[in-house]
Amino acid sequence: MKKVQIYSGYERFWHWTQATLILLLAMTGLEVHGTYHLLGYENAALLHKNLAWALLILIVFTQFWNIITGEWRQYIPSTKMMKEQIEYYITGIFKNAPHPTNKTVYNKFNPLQRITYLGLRILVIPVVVLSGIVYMYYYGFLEENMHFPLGTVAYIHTIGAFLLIGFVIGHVYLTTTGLKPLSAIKAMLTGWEEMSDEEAQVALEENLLVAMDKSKQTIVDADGTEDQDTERMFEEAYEEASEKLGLATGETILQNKLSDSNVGYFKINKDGYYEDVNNVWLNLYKCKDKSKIIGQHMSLNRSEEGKKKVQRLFNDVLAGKVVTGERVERHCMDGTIGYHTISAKAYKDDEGKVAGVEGYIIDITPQVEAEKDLENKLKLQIKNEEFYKKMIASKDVGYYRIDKNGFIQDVNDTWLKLYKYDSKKDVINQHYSLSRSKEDFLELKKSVDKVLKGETIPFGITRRHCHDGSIGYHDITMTPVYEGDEIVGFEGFIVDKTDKKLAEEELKKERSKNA
Amino acid sequence: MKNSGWGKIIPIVILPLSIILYIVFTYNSDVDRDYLASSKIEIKHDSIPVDHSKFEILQKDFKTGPEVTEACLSCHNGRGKEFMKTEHWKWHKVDSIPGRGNFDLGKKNILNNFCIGVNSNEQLCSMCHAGYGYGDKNFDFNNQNNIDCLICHDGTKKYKKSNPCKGPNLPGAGAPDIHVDLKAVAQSVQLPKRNNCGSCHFTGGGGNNVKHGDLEMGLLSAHTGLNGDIDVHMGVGKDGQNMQCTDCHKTHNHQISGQLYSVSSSNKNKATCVECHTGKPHKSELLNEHFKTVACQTCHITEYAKIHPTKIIWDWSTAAKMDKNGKPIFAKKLPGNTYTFDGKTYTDVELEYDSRHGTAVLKKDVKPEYIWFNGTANHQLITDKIKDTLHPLVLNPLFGSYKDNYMPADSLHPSKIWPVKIMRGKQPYDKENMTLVQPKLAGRIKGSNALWADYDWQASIKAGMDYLDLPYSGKYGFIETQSMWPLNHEVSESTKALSCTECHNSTDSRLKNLSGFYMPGRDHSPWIEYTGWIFLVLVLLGVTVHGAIRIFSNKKMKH
Repeated sequence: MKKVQIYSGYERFWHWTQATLILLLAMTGLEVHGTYHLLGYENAALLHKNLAWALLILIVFTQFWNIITGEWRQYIPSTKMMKEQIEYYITGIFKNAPHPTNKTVYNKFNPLQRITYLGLRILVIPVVVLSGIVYMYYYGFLEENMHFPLGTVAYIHTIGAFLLIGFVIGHVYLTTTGLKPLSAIKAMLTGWEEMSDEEAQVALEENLLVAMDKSKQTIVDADGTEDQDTERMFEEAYEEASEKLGLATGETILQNKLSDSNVGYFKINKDGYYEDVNNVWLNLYKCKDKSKIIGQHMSLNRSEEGKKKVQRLFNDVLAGKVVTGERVERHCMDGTIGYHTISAKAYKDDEGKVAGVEGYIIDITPQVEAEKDLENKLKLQIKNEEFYKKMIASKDVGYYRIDKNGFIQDVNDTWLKLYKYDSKKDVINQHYSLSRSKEDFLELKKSVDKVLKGETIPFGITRRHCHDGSIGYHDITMTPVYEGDEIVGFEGFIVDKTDKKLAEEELKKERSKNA
Repeated sequence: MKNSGWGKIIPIVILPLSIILYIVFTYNSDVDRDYLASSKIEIKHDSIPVDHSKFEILQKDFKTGPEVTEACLSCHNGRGKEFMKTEHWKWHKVDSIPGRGNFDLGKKNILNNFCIGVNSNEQLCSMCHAGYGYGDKNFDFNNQNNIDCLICHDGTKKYKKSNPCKGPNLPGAGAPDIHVDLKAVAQSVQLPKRNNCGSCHFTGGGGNNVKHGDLEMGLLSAHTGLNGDIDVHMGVGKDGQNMQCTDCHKTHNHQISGQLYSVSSSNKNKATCVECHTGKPHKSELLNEHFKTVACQTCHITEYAKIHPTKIIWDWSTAAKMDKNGKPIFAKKLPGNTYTFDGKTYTDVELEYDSRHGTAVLKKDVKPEYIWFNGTANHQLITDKIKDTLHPLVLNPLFGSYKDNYMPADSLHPSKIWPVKIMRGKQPYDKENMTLVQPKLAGRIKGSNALWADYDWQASIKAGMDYLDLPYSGKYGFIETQSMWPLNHEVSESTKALSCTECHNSTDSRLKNLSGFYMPGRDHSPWIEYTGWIFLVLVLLGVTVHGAIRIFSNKKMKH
């Protein structure tokens, strides 16, 4: 739940003052009408008169405010979403359907409110106010000069009063249809309305759109025409302002996304010296000071073997090759060793010449360590119970066991997480083809057939269709399970590779966009 | 929570709203109902009292009223001629009835539904004539010595006229009672006080407060509980101003301002509230606005007959009936305190029967009835034909309507809502000629054809009509009549004035019988009312059902 500011101070003052005045006017009016006796007729009549003047002054001020601030636009009637709004009150509201329209500072009223409030403002209230003024001051004049009886004035006033009271009842009731029963009343008191996250997001977007649109309208070329120049100025100003506010702009969104997914960024000039790295890169290298990296050669802190591999990749990229998913070892600043995949391409200067290499690195240290562990154990052909237990409990490695007919017998929590299942029950005794496309299944079946003949498959990459519809990649090991001499099934581990694949895909997209 | 906005709720919502509501609730100068300070009312008397007991001419033992008058006029030169132009002397006046023209109206010529009329009954009626000897139509109205100065100027409070119905009819119509010390009275003369005016005006119709309802002997002194609650002007106790009649009924050359529509028809010579209180007596604009449509009396005379009951119904048709022994019944209180007349039941009343008068219904603390009234009236003259016997005949219909308020025929005198006493009764009429009739009522001598001596309606009416030289077919009946008595007295102090909801009330408005206009709080359009409330109920029902389904379906979804 969020809170969004909707009402300005003046609106809150106006609304509650008007509400109180109308309520007191209704009470004193009904007494003058003869419905009941409470204050005494004279007091009621005089109070009604004073209240009427107070309301009249308030209305004049508020209409002035509406005109000056442009808030009058909120009352322009619109049929857009009208049908949906009516349907919402007739059916949707009973099914907890979301509100068809959103409340924002710039669009406070739904279409039904617009038409109702407009009707009040230009019809009911003026009729009541005017008939009231005539009632108070001009009834004699009307009667003498126009033979217009006071009764008619009074009846018009009474009809208006009934309509207003009816409105107040409906109005008060409809305040309970907000996020919570008291949300709307709280909002009118404090200015801040409670909303669901989705509604708040829409409101926020609307605010931004309107603010941007308004800002945009404040700049035109001196000769009054629209041109590229003013457009560019607006965009620059927008970028600048966003930066000052610490907000992400279109340019930075990709980097932020990568940063969120633990993707490190680097830029190396054609001589092999670092031009730029991002924070993720620095974190991965356990380096706190960016200045210690910028200007250094890329061979910094690498093993001999590593230096050679990096140099080779660098040369390949400069030669025009695009590198994806190459596995590289790094020596971090604190002396530890980590692993990452690297994807890189050449970048060009303004003249179109190759100026260096930029790309992304994705940390795969846990996977690599898990793989190394696995590889070691598998090489030793040891069925170590303890190792299995450790792997099954691992948060990085998924474990599975499938019988010879292809039905899943057991999986661990990490497996479920990777496949995005909630419970083991959903997968046990299901066939392993469950989460695969036909091609993927046929590909995997070849490996399964091999394993059931006694072969061990150390590592292979495969694609999975997760329960929520997303696609993931993982490395998989497959080892036969013996009962006596007979192979009854196979088991193994999976290590997620999705980040790497996704990073590659991001890079591909970026590339095709630049091209 | 950061930026939750709760912290700013006080400066943004609560504080400004509180300030606005504070202003709205306190800015209420209109609620002050005090009189405007600028209209402080002073009562001025422009006459210097003179000690008449020192005058030589008043030292003799007067035998008759005219002797006294002669003495008065010997100094008050010209006052006799002056007085003889007034209605207190003439008992008739030419007045205009809107739409009809000029008629000779006044006490002598107008019929009412109390003692019906003066003619042929002068012997009794002249008890209240400011003259001596008005015993019949042959009375000499040009003899100034026949003026009764003392009835108005007596300062002893002991002067009274003889009552021919009580005791022997001596010494003659309108003459002083034989026990009155005319010398002492003559020496006591002064400007008229309440007791002088009241001696006639409080007892019209044959008893205390019988006629007007708002003029009663109780207005004379504090002994009757008279205070500002009863009458803020004449009250002598709490909040009372102890004002005299002539403080408001300004008098010049014996012409006393003020008139009542039982004997008048035009809008002139009135004693009004605004002469002292102006047309904007309240601080409250809201109340002052009412001045345009509502007479002051409407709000400020909430009830009348506050001390003594007044007669509200007089049914002559039951008169002249005898008891089982064939003897007349006199002033018999009837049991019960309700009376139904013309389909309406009157509660808390006193009932009285008398063979001479028929049935009387009296009531204390009466709420006025209300009408639109522009200050002019019509009259059912004795020569006017009765066109409708199915409905009560209004003897003095008061002109006025709501339309005459906002589009007044006379812009200076628009119709306003007035409080009235409506006197109801049954009185004899000529069934063939379709006119009201004048019966001869007063008299103690059997065979004189007076109803009160012979108990014979036929003879009584014939005698009365013959006296007037008017035709009588010989066939009489009784017709329901009403007379209208706009109320002007027994104004309560301001805090006792009607509250708004006495009239602005949808269920029990004092003005519920006035129609043809919209009044806030009283009137609703049933169509708008039903539609409006059904609309609100449907809205409430709609949101309740919608909400219930939401709660229900939400629970279901969670399971």
